[in-house]
Amino acid sequence: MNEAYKVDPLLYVEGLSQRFAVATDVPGRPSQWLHAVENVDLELYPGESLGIVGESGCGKSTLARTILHLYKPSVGRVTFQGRDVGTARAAELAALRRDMQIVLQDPFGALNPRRSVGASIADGIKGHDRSRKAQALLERVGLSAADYGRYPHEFSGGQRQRICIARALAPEPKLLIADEAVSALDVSVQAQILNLLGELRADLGLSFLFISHNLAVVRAFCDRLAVMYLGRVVETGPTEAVFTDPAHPYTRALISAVPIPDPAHPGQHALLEGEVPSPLTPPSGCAIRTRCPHAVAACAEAVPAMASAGDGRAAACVRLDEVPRGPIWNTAEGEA
Amino acid sequence: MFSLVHLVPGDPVDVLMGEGHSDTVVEAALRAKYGLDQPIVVQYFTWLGNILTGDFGSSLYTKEPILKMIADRFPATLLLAFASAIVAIVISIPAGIIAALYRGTLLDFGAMGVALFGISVPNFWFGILLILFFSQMLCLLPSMGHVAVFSDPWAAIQHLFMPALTLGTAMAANLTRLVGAEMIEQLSQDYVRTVRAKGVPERVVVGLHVLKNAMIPTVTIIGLQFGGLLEGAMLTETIFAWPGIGKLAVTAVYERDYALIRGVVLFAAIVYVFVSLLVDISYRFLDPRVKLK
Amino acid sequence: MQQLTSETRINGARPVLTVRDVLVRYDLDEASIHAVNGVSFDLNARETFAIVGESGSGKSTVALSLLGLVPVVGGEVELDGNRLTGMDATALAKIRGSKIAMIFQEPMTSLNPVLTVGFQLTEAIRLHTDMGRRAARDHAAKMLGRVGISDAERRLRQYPHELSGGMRQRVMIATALSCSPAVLVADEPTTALDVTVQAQVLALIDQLRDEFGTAVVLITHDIGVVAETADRIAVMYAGRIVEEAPTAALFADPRELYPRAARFGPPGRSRSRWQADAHNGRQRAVDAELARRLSFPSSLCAGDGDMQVGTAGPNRDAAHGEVLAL
Repeated sequence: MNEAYKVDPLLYVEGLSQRFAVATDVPGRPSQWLHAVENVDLELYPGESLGIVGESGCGKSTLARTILHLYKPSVGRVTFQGRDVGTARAAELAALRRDMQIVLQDPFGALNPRRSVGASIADGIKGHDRSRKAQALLERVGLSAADYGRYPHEFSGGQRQRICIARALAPEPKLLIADEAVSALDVSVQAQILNLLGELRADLGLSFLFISHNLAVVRAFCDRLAVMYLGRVVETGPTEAVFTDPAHPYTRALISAVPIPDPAHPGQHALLEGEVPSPLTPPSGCAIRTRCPHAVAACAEAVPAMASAGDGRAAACVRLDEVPRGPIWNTAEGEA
Repeated sequence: MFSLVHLVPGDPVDVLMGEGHSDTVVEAALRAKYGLDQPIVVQYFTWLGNILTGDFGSSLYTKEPILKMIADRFPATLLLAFASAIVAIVISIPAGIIAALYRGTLLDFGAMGVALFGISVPNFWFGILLILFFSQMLCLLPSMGHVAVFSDPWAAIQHLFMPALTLGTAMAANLTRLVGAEMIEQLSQDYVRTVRAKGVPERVVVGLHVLKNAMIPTVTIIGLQFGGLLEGAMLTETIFAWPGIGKLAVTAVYERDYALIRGVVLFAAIVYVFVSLLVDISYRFLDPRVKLK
Repeated sequence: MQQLTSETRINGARPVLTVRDVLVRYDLDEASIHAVNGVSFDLNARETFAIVGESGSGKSTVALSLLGLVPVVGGEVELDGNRLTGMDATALAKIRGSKIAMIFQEPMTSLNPVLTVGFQLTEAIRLHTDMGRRAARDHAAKMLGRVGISDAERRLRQYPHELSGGMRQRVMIATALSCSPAVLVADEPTTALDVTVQAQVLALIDQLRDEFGTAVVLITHDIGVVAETADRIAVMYAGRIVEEAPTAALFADPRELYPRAARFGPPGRSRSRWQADAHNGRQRAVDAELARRLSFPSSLCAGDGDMQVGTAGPNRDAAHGEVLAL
């Protein structure tokens, strides 16, 4: 993927923050903020697949919606195909959004139950021959052209997710944002959908922003990763490098918490204490410090900046050089 | 509402002076006295100003202060509302539970059939049927009037029985369907399975865990219907000659007593708002997820 | 054909739970579905027995049938020599929660929202023991401590919505174990939890199993969870156990599709390996597995009527002729 870094990024996110007012004082001014996304920097190159991983409530879905400007960002800038999405006018924003499509988790709720799936797909197609193009898309995602006139309830979960993907492909986007797109599916169906997305990526040159809490899925699909915790990115880097030798204590805990499907190699769980704190009252300084086994007094003072951790990785931890490193999953590879 | 009463044909001065009067001087004097010669807008603001100082005015007809008239009638209405609500609760909660537990069986159809009957049958007709049966045929109960509870409790209950049954059954009909639907909804919740897995006997599962959850929306409806009853049940109070707010309102309309109509309507609105507030506050105690801020 | 009723017994001890040919049928308007179609297994004391399968395979229904929470139309469930199937409701209620307890997938909705944690915890204790109000409350507080919840007195006064998901699942576990049951049935106990919390809860169940000497029936779709916690595994497909073996043996020789697909899905493998498989081995694997998947059930039920498939979900996708990824 290194050659891709020479071109301009397709998507460039700088200092993006998204805060929601959850309470107001008597004159109506916001008095309490939910910090959903805090100061996130990302870049995504053409043809690349960037994974965003983290536990529920870490802000990964909000990040996706803020990138699409479904929410107006509180701070920061999103540049897509060289254009600032925030300053785009309505018509230009609509065009940009056609190039950025999103596939959501719930294939049952995402389709209009009263419209045929073909009609739902054809909505996104411009020009003539819309129904024929929609039928071609249905075939492209592994369904048949004859499914055009059928309704969502006639399909299984996996098939519905294929329909959602076909609908997202209709405007011929450059970027597909998959927000937990396979999380609601059975394991074997997940694999099928991932295969399909992989094929689409190779054939159409799509870029992916792949959001998931499932580390296994992300490892299978993404070139690079960004690990989020309480609204902030704590580690980024090439997928394999992050998985085999995570730098940040949180990433280490997250990866080691995943049970390994191999009874001969029981995991060495670096258990984190407790649960994720409320984003209404995030801890001062480094947000992980309340659960981190390596936390020291300095962690409470300032939010740590991203620093290089080797192999193209970066992590936000003040004790980066002192925290023990090393592979977690090396034993799980291959044999058994 | 204020201007609406003026659209009704008829005039309070005509009523006051009697049929076929011709004394225009007296008529003009009366109009001036009650401010009826002023434009409606002026009348409205005069009235509004008086209300804000706590003055509901006096009846055009009996000259009594309106607030006193309402205060005299209100205890009767309150008594009837309480009695009706009790009748409704006693009928609807067991019926709703039975309908939910024996869903699809004869008991369910029976309970829902009665509920449907209760909704469909008009109050005045059911009231008249009761009078025919209990007063005319059996000669058991007085057909009209009201006795204060403290003077003669037994007579009071006798007088109360039929109006309360009329209003209570109508209210019970809606409540039964609500309780039934809510019980079915709650019985399918995950926590019910947990409670059963703990080995809790089914009667406790239904009577405590499920019922407590099903009561949250039910209490809202009971509260709002009770608020409605406090405004006075015009038909029922008229049929049973029950001296409550509803009867007062009907009389006021017959006599084109603008001032009294306004007073009663305003009072009803205040009562309704107050009861709604009480219902909202009661949520705090029923549903721990609701916090008063 | 494989011997389905396992005779695996540790040191020849009598199994604590015996399940024989259990049949559960859901009657819908148009058809009845055999959600569980003749399931048999033994559970030994202090053992973790995992039942895995995709959604619709009937694994959760098996869990519910063990406590008689779904109507069992055939077969037997025997707990410590007591036959649970066919037992009257009162007698069954006495055993539920005291000798066999259950925890559920959804910690958010599995507790009654309008009753305090304390009430819900003490309810089972007061039902199944002769402890008084005060003693039950003390015992409940002690149980909360055992499942790692500090500040127990305050927690007992709180309502479920005031606790986080992981905390609620701990409350569920505390409730289930409060009467020291012989068998704990855990239906997807960590599926709704975040991965770091899942690790905590799994470790807790394991630790308490040792402490209380409880045998665990673990229902899950997560092969990783199984590999780490189970002694023996049964694989369910379309209402039947299609394979049963000690964990190590099953992972050495995975015959059934489900554990294969789940296992050779990504976690333990690198992306390049996975992609290589996807390209090279795909066609061969698809042919073999699709054939197995579609023919397996019919060979299994040769002779005893037609096969009822639990849901249309995954099977329908496969039958559609799609790529089964490996």
